[in-house]
Amino acid sequence: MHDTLAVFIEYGPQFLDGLAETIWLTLLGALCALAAAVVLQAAAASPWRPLRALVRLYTELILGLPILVLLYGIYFVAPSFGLRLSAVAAGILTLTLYYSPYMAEAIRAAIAAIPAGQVEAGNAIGFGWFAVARRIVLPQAAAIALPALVGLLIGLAKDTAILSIISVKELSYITKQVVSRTFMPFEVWAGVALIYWVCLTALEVAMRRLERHLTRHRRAVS
Amino acid sequence: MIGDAGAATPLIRADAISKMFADRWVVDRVSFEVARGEVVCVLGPSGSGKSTMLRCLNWLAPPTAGAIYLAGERLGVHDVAGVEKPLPTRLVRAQRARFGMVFQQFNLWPHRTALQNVMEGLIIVRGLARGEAEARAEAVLSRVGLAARQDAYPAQLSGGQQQRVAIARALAMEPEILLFDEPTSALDPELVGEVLAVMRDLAARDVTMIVVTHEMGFAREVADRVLFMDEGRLVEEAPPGQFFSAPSSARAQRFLDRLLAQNGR
Repeated sequence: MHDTLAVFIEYGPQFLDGLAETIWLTLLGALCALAAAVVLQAAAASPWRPLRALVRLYTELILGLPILVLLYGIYFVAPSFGLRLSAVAAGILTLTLYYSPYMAEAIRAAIAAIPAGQVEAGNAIGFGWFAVARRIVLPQAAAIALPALVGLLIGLAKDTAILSIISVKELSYITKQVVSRTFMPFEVWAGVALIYWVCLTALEVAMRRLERHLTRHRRAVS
Repeated sequence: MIGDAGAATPLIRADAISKMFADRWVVDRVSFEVARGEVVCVLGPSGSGKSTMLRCLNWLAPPTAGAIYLAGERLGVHDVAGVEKPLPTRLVRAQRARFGMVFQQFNLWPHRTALQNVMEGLIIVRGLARGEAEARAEAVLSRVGLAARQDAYPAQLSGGQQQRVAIARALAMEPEILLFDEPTSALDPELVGEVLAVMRDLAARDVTMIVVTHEMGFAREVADRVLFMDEGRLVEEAPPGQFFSAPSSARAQRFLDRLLAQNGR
């Protein structure tokens, strides 16, 4: 126990850097994936048929691939086709490509759950499409999509660990390095597991709070 | 309004409006006029095109053919160098905002309180300041008897209360005419009365209304005129006394007989 603590104190700065990198990858990856999901969802609802077919093809392709294979493809295979990315960029791109179809589906389902009458009431009062989206559809769809999106966000946060295999210097990569120097795999990985667990649980609790806030009208009882 | 220069022009003039859905004429060459302050009830069997006709009026379902005039202004279409062109969306919205509409399913926004539901259009469409919108919304809510429930979410309100909020939401915009699409059809029987009471009050204050309804009692007492539709056509147009006692068309007679048999009234 004493030795373990000593290791975490000695390599504290590296662990903190690794954790910061993991958090940063998670945030950037989630933002890019969410943006891509919105674009995908808009394309899937497009009146132009080839675009819809393209989205469907892409979605089917991604849903049938392990994220590891996608990562290898982008980092090791794509360069021979002229796409040369840094490890971090390849990692972000992988997370974006992998998670956006799932997020797009969560968004699509949430929008579809809003009764057409809600939109019609907005139109009847003189709202344009933007006001309908901003004042009626988005606030409700966000609350509906949130549980699914939180699940995906946590999945994405955990999958940042996979990026260690292409030498992205996030928490798991740092851990491997520390283990190779200290020869204490059990203690070090146990400590890092605790760090992951605390961070992810905190994230989940925060998101549940947000969800409760967004759905307060549903719990309102007179 | 007697002696008013505007009284000569009907508030609404529908000229042979038709609406086609999937190769079927749901509304078929319907023409009528509504004067300012008039209450017109639209009756007819379900599927007769009443609701669609109502949606044509405020361009929620733009008519396939025909013309509609609101206080003399042609709706949805304008003249570009002698050619009729669809009006730009922005102007269609402005015309639509001159109508108020009340739906069968209320269609309140569940994530906003009663007060916020009424304020929404005042802020977003009319551009009122929050405080001003709130004051007007409160006044309108108390007019439908719901001042005490202004902070309730729709889920906390009964169907009748929700529909009264929906009426307040439409009324707050100070529309020139109110359209009601079967406003009591989704309500439990014991809640119908409170909604009809609000509508009677509006009628008494000379609010112009077109009411698609199955409430024959309301039509008989409140309507100035009854329009009877069947299979998309306007079959009969008469004062309620005449319509209910001696309808001139066989189809209206059959419709009334069927209702009588159902309700035992």
